[in-house]
Amino acid sequence: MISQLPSVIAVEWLKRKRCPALWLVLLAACFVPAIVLAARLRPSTPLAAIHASTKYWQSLWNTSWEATAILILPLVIMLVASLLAQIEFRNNTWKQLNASPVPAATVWLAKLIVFLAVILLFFIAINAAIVGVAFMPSVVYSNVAFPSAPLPWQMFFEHSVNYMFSALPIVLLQFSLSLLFRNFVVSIAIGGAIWILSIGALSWEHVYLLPYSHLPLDYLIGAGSMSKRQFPMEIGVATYAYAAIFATVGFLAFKYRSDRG
Amino acid sequence: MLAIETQHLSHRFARDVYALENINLAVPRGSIYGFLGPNGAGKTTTLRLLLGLLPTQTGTIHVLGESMTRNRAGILDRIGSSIETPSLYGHLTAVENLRFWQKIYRCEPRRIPEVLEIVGLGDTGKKLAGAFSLGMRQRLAIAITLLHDPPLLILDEPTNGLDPHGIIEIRDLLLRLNRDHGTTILLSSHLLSEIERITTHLGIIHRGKLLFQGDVSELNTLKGQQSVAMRTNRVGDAQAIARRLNLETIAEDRALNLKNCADAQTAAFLRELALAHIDVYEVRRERLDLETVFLDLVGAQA
Repeated sequence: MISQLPSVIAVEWLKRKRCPALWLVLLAACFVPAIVLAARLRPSTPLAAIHASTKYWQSLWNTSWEATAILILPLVIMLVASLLAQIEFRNNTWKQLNASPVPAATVWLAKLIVFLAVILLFFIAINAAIVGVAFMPSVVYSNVAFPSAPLPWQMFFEHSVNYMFSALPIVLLQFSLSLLFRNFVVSIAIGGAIWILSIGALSWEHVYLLPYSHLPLDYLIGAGSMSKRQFPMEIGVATYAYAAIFATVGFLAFKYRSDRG
Repeated sequence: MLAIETQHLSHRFARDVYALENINLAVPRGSIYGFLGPNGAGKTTTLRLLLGLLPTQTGTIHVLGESMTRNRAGILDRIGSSIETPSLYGHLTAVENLRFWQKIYRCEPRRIPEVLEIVGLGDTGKKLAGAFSLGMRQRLAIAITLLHDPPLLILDEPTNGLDPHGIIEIRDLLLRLNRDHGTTILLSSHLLSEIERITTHLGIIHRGKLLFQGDVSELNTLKGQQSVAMRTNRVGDAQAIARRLNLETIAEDRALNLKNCADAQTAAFLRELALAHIDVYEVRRERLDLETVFLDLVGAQA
């Protein structure tokens, strides 16, 4: 199984060629930073004062991630999971893939790795876009200095890694649902319902029981809008528990489904 | 030696409704085995079971001498298969589709242009598979099955959607593979003429049951026992003699058809006609095509 994995990942990556998933990820990642940039390029914006702030980067990060963590990234995960799984359903290729000598575990793992790689691309793109938002005004307006605070690479990296782990329950459940249901509306509807429920229950002390709440919670705690202490248990534990459950159940459902094409 | 052997293979999609019942398939190595049956007879279900796309409920499957349940991956590595409609990634080119499977089967990259040339798709360039005609898609699906040079091909209706020229090309290709490489080919079809022209062995399935299995000569014997047609000047008298000899007849104008008439019965009948001074202008063994045999078998089963 392991010996085949690199080549199966390579062909899974080849498969997403000309698939709109990558464009969707890039556009979604740049969406909020682009709005922030447009706002900052307005002549009335006090750019000099903003760029001189000592909390410049934290503020820019929070502005860029607020809507992204709560709204955009969960939606992107749902849509990308469906788009990637639909490559097989739409082309009627599950049967050919399942009649190949590659074990189901390898196929499942390779698909998951490619999906995670596409989501990783989202994080790389949004980080690049945020840096672009910081420097573009100084490029456009020669009289505006670059932000005085140094670029906090470590903070960007740590927050990104945290968000990525917080998003794992969404990633794994959407991935599993997308592989199980031929009709993509089913997986998006289930994911959408859990997500709406999670957002609606954010003020509930046991909201961490809803697996799609972890990403918004991670952002809100990082931004100082919420405190870890208001929850009776460590959210990270729930995150890993859900991720493990969704991965295990998802894989077993994929491996033992009665009809393989 | 058998390339494929199933014993008591049965499959149910719903409780008490058998899609397949006690199928004992025997596909000899090096043969071109035609798996014939009307739509819904159970051909594709059988092929899906052979490839492990459906779980085996009852019975056993051995492919290339190994048990399917024990070494599925090892067996699938030596099979090229195409089930129902061609499975192609429509957003990729022919070369990209083949590159995908070349990596899955870990065969030489040089096989890609080779198989494209074999199926006549060497010049498709950057055209995406989604823009191919059905015939081109069928050819590309066959190219994928040939990529790793497998000793066994399982093809479900491979000439579906092909024009007559394409059908001849695929038929020649399959014959060439069988002759030059010894490739065993299991070929399902409802195109009776196609099966008849290229197969060495036949299996006829109807409503989930295997009605006939054997080599083509056995079928020819079956055909040979079918009927004798003759033209005579006194059809009524000839028919009366036939009845006396317990032969079943159908009379039409100046022609008489003797059903299920063996060689010895034909000779005895002709002797009687000669003694009765009945002129016989023509006697011929009816060349029943496979369709007639098939319909007879299906009719007998019904």
